[in-house]
Amino acid sequence: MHSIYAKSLKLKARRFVYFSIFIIMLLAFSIKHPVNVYSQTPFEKTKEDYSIQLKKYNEARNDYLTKKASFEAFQTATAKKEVFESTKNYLVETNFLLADKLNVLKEFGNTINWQNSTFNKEAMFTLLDEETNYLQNNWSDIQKTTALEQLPPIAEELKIRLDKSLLPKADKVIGTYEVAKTQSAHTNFKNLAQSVSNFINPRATSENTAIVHNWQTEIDNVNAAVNTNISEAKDELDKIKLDRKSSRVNRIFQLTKSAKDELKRSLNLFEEILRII
Amino acid sequence: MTSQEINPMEGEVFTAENTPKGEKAGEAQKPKVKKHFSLPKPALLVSKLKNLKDTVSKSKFLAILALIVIIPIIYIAFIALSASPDSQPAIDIITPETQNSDTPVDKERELIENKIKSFSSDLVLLETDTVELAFPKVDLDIKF
Repeated sequence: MHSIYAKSLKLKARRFVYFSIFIIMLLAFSIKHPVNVYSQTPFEKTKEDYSIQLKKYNEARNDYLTKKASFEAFQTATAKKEVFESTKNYLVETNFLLADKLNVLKEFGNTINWQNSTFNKEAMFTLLDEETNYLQNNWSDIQKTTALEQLPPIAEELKIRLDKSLLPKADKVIGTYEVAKTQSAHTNFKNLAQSVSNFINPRATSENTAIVHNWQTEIDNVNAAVNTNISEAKDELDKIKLDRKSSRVNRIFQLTKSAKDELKRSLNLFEEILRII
Repeated sequence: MTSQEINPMEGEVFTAENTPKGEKAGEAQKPKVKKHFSLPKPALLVSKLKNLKDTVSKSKFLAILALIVIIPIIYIAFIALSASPDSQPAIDIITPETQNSDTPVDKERELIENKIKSFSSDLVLLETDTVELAFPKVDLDIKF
């Protein structure tokens, strides 16, 4: 008798366990996937796509190197066929990797507040679109190949395009983004400085007039330093040519970093004067 | 445990479980009685409704019902929580208790403080992501 009830209970317990596992899996799925997917911004989505493509690229590269070594060692028709397929796949994955990076750049441009900038977002996007179009044609050329000998010239052409067009344009765009972002923050700083100044000046007493005066001097110094940094960064940006790679973008990063440090310093000044007044 | 040790009804179940498969196969060969559809009798419906009341009051049913309700709530809560994890309100919500129409200076101060907070978050955003824009170095020296 007990064995029958035991069997029945065992069955119920098993069903309950299965049901619980199902519920837990359902919850885990709902937490892991939709939340992350739906809450992603377009920029985050492109970054994730790029990250996935980078893995594919690395896999394709490893496969290409393995097959290439095998072909060089044995020189058989089978090895040649295999190395052709793996090289073709590697070139396709390289093409997709570069295209995904261009998409990341484009979506990043959409996160910037261009209204406070002297630059044109559409002009930057045009530069990126030109390169995306080139990559589409390059992919089409790769797809048309039927023999191993056709692949090295296509790779060489892509390499030249990278050095002479894609990377210089990317540098120009990244540099422009950097300056535009700093300009936007600088505009916010100037507006805030004006608001704080309007707030504290009527409330200044004979005891703290000197403090307010010093504060205004410090704010003016920050403003001047940021102005200088942005101005120099713009000069460097103008020097970036669209047909050759340079390291000028690194200098732009240095200058905008100095500007950001100054703006961060101003934050303490704003908080301090509000505590005093 | 033997079949003699158990009650008659349970014994039947026990016997049925222990019956060899061959015998069950013999039963399966019996001709099937055709079922005809007919409208359910009102008395049967009433009895089923009464049974439904019993079913609803069962703890198992209530547990499943509770799970069905809880799962969408948890799901919606997670969606709502993660909808904008990094976003900060541009202006803090001021509760009516903290507002005082007699002290315009404080209101102005709050406004300035909010602007400083907004500027601070702008500066945080200024630091992010630019490094991730750098292009990868790809190997295109393909020679055979």
